[in-house]
Amino acid sequence: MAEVALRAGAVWVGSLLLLPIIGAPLATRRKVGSLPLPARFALAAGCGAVVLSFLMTFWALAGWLWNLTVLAATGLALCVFLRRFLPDLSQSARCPDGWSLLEWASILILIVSFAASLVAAASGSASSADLIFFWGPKAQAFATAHTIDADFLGQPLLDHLQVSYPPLVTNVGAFASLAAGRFAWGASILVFPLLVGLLAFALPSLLGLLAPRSSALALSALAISTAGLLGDTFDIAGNGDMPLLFFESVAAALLVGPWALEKGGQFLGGLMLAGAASTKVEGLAFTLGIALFFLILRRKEIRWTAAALRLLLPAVLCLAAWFAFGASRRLFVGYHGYGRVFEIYWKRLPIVLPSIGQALLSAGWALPFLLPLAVLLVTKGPWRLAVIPVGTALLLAGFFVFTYLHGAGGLRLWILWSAGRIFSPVAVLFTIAAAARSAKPVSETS
Amino acid sequence: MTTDRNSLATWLALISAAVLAALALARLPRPADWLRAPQTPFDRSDAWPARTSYLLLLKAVTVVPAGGTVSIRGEPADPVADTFLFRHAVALLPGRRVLPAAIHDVPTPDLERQAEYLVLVGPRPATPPGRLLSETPEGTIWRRSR
Repeated sequence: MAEVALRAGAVWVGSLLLLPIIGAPLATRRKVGSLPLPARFALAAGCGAVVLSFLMTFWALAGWLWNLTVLAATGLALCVFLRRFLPDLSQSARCPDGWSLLEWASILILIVSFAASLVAAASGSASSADLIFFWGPKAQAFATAHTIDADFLGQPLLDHLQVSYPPLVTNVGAFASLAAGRFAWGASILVFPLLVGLLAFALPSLLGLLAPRSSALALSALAISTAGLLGDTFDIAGNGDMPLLFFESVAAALLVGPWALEKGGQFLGGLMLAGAASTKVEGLAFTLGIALFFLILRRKEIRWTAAALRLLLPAVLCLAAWFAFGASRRLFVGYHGYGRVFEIYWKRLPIVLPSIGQALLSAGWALPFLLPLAVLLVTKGPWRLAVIPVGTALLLAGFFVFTYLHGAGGLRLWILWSAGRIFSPVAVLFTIAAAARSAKPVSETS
Repeated sequence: MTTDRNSLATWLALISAAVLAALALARLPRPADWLRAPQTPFDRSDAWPARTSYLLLLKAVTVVPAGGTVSIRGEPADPVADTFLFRHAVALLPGRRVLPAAIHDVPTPDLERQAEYLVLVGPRPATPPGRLLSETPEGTIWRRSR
């Protein structure tokens, strides 16, 4: 029994290797290909997950049953097709030269942070209660039905399943379950450290496109140690918070960098934004917010309409497929909300704000939030590009407070349970903003 | 000046990262436990109360046949805990029709009584609800007498 479970878990995790293979065509263009292999691997995995999830939703909408081989092959073919929208980027990655002590120390911290998140997850220290409440059961039911199971989602007794939550995490979980023949509960919590590792692969190279390598490495180490500590403290293994953080971080790093001025970079950024919007409800707020700040702040450097299309069309298509599925099966026509939009209970502000503060303080005396903020403030350089992640972080924080102000009974408990993990991207966005402030002059980056 | 100031920021980022990584290491279980696989995914997380039902439901999935109707509750019954137990059973008893003993913290005895199988978390009840199929340290699994 234990051996069967172990084998299923290994296959479950191993099947996720198909994601970077599916997304590989999008991460092997000549200039993207000049990034180090680990960064390309991480980008390919992100692109693969987005494309696969879109296809699985589309398949379900069309009423076709999922087949592992057909989905993987179609995903690969779609990525080969999308490759034409990803022209070569003019920005080359920096050539490697000798590593300084500071850089070696940053790499060591990246490795230690990844290892800590792996041990935390594998020892059952970081598992999310939501895994067993709805992420896992939905992925399991979808794999069993070989589609997004509308009958399962529509059962009146199962109204705890967060039916309208976007589909990427459950789709990818169902894909892995199809490969393994079952949903592997123990393996699913390893997605948290795997994504910490992938982010550690991607961020140094992406931030290195705009900041000096030593800064990029140190800030990446800060972002990864922040993500690892917050993920363990707030128990996010097995839920959608780490996938969301991955997509948001990569998207933000791309959009403050030089690649974002070109078609290919905007399209890659758009795919990552689609990943964020397809992962959790607040991913849509992030997508709209960062796209808005990007389009306003970099309007003189880009073709506005075309850039907006490249950034937002992938997310629009992914969510359109999802909401079309929900509407056609009479399950939902929009996200489940907490009360009427404009019915805001301002009287609850004295409960909401201290509770958020208490939640953030519970993670290492709020150091994972305060230290990135301190680094951002100490960094010298122009604020213009940094406004993109900082503005998005503030917008997200406002969105969360706005959401909490709609909450009813058990508000304090709800905030203490959720605020730490949903505010986590804010801390990582501060480190990306610091990289944007320390950007090299254009003459050094070209 | 910019270089000097950003050198300071870079070192601050590195030291901050080291502090946060150290805090993450400090949160980990004892190294002796690192190589010992947990019994459930929830052994050491804040979701540890799910551990008991997880272990009992792993047993139940081998006892309750696919297609069977099953309910789960604590012994003695507690509608708040039973609401969570119902959700756990939905997750861990795929292919079975799970009926709640409580939903949204409100007891649903009429639904519970319809279940052919009953999983009880906690000690064996004074009055057996049917034929005992299995007993573990976490609870008991019964087939109702009809």
